[in-house]
Amino acid sequence: MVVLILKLYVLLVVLIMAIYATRHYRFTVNRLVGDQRLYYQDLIDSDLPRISVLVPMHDEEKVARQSLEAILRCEYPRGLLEIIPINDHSGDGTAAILDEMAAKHDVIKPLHRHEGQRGKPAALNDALLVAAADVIIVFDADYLPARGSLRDLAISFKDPEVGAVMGRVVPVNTRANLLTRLLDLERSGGYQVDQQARHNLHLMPQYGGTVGGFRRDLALSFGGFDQRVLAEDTDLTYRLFINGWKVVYANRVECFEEVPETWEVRSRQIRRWSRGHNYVMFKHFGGLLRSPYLTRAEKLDGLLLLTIYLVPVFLLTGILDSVALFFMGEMQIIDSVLVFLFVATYNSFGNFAPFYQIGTASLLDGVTHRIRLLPFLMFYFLLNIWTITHGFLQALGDRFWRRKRAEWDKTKRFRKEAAA
Amino acid sequence: MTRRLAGLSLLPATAVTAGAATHALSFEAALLLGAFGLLILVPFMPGLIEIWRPRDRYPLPVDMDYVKDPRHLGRSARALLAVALRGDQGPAGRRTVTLSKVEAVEVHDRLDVSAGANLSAIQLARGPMVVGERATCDRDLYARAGARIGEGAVLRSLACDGRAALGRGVSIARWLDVEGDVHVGPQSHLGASAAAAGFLELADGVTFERLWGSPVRTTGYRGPRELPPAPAPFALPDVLEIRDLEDLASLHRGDLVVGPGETFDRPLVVRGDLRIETDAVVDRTVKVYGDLTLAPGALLLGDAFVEGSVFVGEGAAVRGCIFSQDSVELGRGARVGAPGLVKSVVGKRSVTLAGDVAIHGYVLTDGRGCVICRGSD
Repeated sequence: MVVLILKLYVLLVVLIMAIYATRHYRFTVNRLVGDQRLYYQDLIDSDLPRISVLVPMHDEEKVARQSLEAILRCEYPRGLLEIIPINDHSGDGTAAILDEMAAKHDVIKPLHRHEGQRGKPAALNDALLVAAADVIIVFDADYLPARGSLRDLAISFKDPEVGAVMGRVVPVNTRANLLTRLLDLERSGGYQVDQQARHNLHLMPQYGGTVGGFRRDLALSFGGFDQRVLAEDTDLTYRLFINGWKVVYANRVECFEEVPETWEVRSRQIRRWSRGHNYVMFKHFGGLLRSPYLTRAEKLDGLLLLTIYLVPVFLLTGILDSVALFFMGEMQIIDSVLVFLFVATYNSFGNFAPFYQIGTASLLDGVTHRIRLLPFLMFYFLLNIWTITHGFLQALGDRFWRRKRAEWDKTKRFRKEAAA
Repeated sequence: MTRRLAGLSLLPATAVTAGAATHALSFEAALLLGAFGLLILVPFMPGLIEIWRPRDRYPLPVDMDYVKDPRHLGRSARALLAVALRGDQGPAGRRTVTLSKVEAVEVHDRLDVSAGANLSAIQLARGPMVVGERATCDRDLYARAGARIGEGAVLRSLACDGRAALGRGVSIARWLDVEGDVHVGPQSHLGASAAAAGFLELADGVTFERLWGSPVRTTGYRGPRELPPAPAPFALPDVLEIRDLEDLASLHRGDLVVGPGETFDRPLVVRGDLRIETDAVVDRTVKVYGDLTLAPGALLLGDAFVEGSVFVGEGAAVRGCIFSQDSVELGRGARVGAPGLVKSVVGKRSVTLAGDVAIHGYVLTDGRGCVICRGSD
């Protein structure tokens, strides 16, 4: 009986991996030869919505000034703009920088938080209560938006169905080391192919929590951001789709971000994402399937996106399962030529699906030599299997031990003082 | 050595001590190991070279100064030329300047290009510019006063600080940018972009990709038409009531017809086709998953976001923008936007304009844009 269960589990893992490989290829082929939907940045309209730009900051003295100056350089009617940098329990010079900038620029209205829970969801919730605009644009403290970004993001809310918009983040510190270069490749695949293909195919592009925006009324009607959730962006994405709204992706609204330069920091970041995302999975699984607003394709894509941080867990347990079966002498799982062909085909094509996607993204971005680093992503994926599984176990704890709140783990900044 | 290889290749100890035959076997094992190691390394070799001697390690380029500006091409060309000439007030004649590369600029007080002439340098006219029939110029033209381009002329691009008139069949390869009004003759081709600070009037058969004008209008234009005032801001329900899409907008699954003379005053999302009948009024923005048709005389006071194609019938008007992932066709007498507003018409596959059409702002298509007045006048 145990052997049968182990064998069935191996087959289940193979099936899951095949489904995700197919998904990778579907998206990649769409970006290479499929129909590309326009985003709204080509609209020029004299009637723009009023916007509040929120920038959560915790101990961000290295980057705060540069980030606010970049937002001030953005072209948007000043009468329709307010910038709310949120000093979230900072213990460094962030507060002084914000006050100094506010004294110089009327549109900057800092919000200082010294009480209550620390972390991005709590900070955004407080800011939503003081924001004056219907449309909220969010940037992380280390992000440097281009001059047209605010207009290009805000214009999407002219569409009555749009609940949130997401732009593209581009790593700025790619030169630092091998890890930053690998993260650059991963980001390219995620945005240039994955997000854009989901936009093209009327599926579920994801709001990523920064370089994006959402309707303030909607966030408030959902009770604000759930402070137990470490992936408040994914949580909002699913709340919106389930309730009939859309998230649109703006591939040409690009913004530089800093990516982790050490494996340790990256592991912590991935673990936090996994924990948060898997918590969201438990939270919205049923709602997604029951939503009357979503098409079947949207539900399927939503399901695959919702469970994406579960895949490494399946993979790791599948490998352990295979090893156990090997030592039990039970590796002959199904006696069929078709199965052999399936496994051989998967080995030839399925394993390479994410690499193909990232290579295609580099091609679309017009860069070439960096794809020589693709094989090194294998080591990065191995790290992800472990850290994501760890995050999944934490999410299980959050779910079944009903933790009231999750500890927010701020990602370390690597920018040098001089650069700031 | 043999022992080390034996240890590496996991050969049994007896094999190591079994004389010459074992030596050969160990060598084979070493060869096998070496080949295996090499094959493991091969996929990483290009990457190792990239790490050792990086050729592509910089961030992806992001244009931090990018702002959507329909007159960007003309403005940047003028600015480049102004910097290169540094306020040159000298006599007319030929100069050599450095733009993106070293270029010849011919400066004229007044430029008259004879019919059929072929110009190969940048031409700057401080006064009026007249280009004769079928003349060609494969560099930019810049007129600081008005410009008149003769029938069949073929130009690379034209910047003009006054008014401009293009004759029949003029072809512009790249862009046209004019500070005043522009008349474009029949069967002309306007390249990637044509922009005017004043009106941009297009005759029958003109083809285009991007247009900007105040307004963009077609032959037979009969002046602005009075539209009802903009509706008051939509009365949003209480924040806590807006949760589902249907709290804010009317959602219709399937096709919908707004009947003749009816008025609809909520944002509208239609998961099918939408037809707004004659003299019907939709006060708010519509999102349509199928096609949108405005029958003659129909009125849409908000924007139209459409996944399918859009047809705006004779005399119908859209006060907001039209955005279609397919094609847009504006019938005779159609109006988009209103004086004092800037609005857009975006049709991914095509934009077709009939006679007496006016668009206050911007027109864009990734496919084919054309004016077809015959049969509509």
